[in-house]
Amino acid sequence: MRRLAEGLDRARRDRSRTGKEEAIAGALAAIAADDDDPALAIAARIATGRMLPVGDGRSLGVGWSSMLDVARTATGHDDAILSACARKTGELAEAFALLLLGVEGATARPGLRLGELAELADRLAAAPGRADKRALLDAAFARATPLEAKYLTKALGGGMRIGAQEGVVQGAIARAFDVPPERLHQAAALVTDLGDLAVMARRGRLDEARLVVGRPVAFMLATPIETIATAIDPAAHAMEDKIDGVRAQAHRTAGGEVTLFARGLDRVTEAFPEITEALRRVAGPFVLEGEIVAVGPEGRPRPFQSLQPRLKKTTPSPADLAEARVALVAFDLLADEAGSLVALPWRERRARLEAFAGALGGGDGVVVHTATPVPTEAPLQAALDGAFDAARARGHEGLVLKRVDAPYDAGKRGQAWIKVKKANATLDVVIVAAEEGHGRRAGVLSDYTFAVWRGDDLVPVGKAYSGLTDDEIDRLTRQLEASTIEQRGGLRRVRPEIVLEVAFDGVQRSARHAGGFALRFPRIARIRDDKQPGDADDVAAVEALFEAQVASGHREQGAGGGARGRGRGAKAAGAKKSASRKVKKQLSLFGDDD
Amino acid sequence: MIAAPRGLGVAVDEAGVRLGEAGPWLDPARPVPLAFVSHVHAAAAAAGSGRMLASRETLALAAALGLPLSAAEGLDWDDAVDVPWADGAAARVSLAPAGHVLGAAQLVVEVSGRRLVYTGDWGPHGGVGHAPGRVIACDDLVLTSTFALPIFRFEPASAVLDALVAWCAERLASGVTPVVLAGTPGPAQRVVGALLDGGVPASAVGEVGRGWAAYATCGVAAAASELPAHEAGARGRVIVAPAAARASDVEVRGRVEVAYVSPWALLDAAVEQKRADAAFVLADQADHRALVGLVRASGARRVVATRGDARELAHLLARAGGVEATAIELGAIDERGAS
Repeated sequence: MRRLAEGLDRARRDRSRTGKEEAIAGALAAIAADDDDPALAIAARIATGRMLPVGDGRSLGVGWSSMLDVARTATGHDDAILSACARKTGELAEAFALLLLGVEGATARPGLRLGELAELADRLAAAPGRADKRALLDAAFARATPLEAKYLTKALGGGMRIGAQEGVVQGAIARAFDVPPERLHQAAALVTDLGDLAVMARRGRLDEARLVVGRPVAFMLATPIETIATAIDPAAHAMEDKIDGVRAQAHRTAGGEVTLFARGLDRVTEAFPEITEALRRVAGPFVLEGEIVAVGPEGRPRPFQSLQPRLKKTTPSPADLAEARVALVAFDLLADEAGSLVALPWRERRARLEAFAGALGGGDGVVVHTATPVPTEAPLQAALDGAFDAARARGHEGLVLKRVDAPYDAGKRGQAWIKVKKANATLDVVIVAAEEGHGRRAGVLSDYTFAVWRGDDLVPVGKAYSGLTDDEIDRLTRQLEASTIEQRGGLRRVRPEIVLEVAFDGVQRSARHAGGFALRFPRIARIRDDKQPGDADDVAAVEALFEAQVASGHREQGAGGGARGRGRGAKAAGAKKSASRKVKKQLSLFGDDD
Repeated sequence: MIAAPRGLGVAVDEAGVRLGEAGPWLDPARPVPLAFVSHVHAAAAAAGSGRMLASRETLALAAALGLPLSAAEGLDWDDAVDVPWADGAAARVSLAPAGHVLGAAQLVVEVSGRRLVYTGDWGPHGGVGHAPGRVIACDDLVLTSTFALPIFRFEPASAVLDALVAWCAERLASGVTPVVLAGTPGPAQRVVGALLDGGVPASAVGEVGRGWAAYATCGVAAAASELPAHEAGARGRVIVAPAAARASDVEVRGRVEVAYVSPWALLDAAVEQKRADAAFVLADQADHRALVGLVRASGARRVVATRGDARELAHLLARAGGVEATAIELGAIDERGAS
């Protein structure tokens, strides 16, 4: 563990991606030189901030208060001091390590072996009660050096926070075992646990990476667009309504074990028992992919907000189940009894999915999504506009166009799938700073500065004050207080950890925001707990929205945007348009004929 | 903010901590009738006060930096003056070195047969041009607890500066321009002094150069060496810039690496915020152990902790026993200096 902790600490200090990869690679290579596969696997997992494999159904059951207990025993400081130190450093792990430096002999300890940490993870998951877990942790931390304690605490807490996201650790594995990065990334889409992947890379067995039922694969993603700039070939595409729910992968083994995985590859099986039960009744093995949505009495999808109460419940009560009924709307079949289907073109997977629909039996819990050919009548854009309106009328978010000859490209966001979002679009942004509100919202952090990516940097594009409930603001306040990096006056700079989906009325150029753009009247549509900061949009997406406005006459090019010139006129004129015309304008996605 | 303890003659209002009925206020946040300015970092906030007490060195340094302390009374170490106290009585006050930055002083108040000491920012080691903080036996102690949490453990400055000089020299030798971010006046001048002593060429940005010149004006022998100002695009020298600056504000050609030199460099988030490649924990203040040691060595029976981690220091002292400890929570004095 010492070598890993030192490598991770070097990676933390190094600001370049290459430097971070090299630091972690050095540690992994050194571990592989004289330790076994389980040790390498746990090292790679710890580097990504976890102790158990991706997709593992078990839980460590170690929370903040357990770690506070452990730190109290290990350092001799009480909760008041530990909490104050954690507030000062921004996280318990760092405070714990700094306090251990003051414990006599701590730096001279022999330290922890990786092998015993793999055992620790298993034993923690198996330990029945808090006292048992506590005893295991106390024993481990009594032997940890301060630096080991820091990184073990981070791993137990579920995040490294060293600026090395999963892609960096993948890069480190590729470097450590001299594998082309692209080959490693391909394998990583199918073997999503980096512990397993590191062992395969070490053994030269990356070619054996394949979909295994019961183990999640990285989700194939669609590229969002506002307008279709280049003409598409209707015959080469199929069309589905874009459903506003929670993306999920449903695995059922031949033995009947059903597992649901969400976008972050977390298990959400117990959260949606009606789906799990429905799938258990269908003969397997298979892997379905789709979107979990709340449904009304006639099976019609309800808005995303209706699903939200269920997202907070890991094991819903009967009352929760009655309040919001859910279903998996399946749109892809990644494996069946013939094995993995990911290499097959969409059209063949679709044919198998439709055949599979019969086996589902039309009961509650799972339905197969409708896919239709792209209309071929001219003009194409008008036809697509009509299809979009129809999708919206059915309660859906927009359309997804899928190339019929494309395989399921796990983990990739490419042109094979294109999602056409609503014109009054939303962006996924990351909170980078927060302030207390005023009046009723004094004392809580309710004003958020948010940012999008430009390369490896987050650049602010606006501030939002509205859209959340009091409960949500309270929750964010606690999270943001814990992730404060710097406080100056009332403004807190925070670690970029929370993703929001913001709606807005338009995009304008801005000299005030580092991103070069500002969103007009942004409001928070929802908190995206299902997304990581890396999933947030980038400046290119904002620019594309801006360009789309320009193309549609909503705004003109140039600094100041709508504040002057033609843009202002357009805005004023827009404000006077009738409501129906405004709606039409928003929904006209496919051209500039309006 | 916690209510001030009874019996010490210590009160709290919007300007900060006040002794007696009419002052002095201790490093007040705004102009007051009678202010004690412990060191130059606290000068700007108190400017405009009716009467200001400061060390003669602080006054000289403030004047050399162009800070508005000209109306202050400069006191030599241990010289005493009387100030009004309560019920028409006077208290006798004098100053003693605090060891934080050139001129930093503690306020010693003798009244009714008791002695109260306000430490201001106190450091156990000397710095460029100044002696270590003095330990003064007293009944009541009001101390600044900026780095009172037990996570703060500062290594001796000489070792830190040696490592920094070696880091800078290595970078220069490999064609990389080191940019060192350090607070001024204080740590930045220690860095400059260490670099010049080590024969490593250095240049200064903005307030760092003005601080060095001010030290020379104040007669600090170490500051007699010439320190050129950084010229846009120039290479071959270490660039020392104020801690409040961003490395991206410094115009440099070629590859740059940034070192952050500060007590706050102990914290990962602070280093990350500075986008620094290297961190050197250099402090002119007492760390946790030194603060607790100061309390014990002073023999004070009553302690008031202010600023920074006051509540936690009071908690720790009370738990250890032997003193009556209370806390007044105020913001830290702005160490970014005269920029």
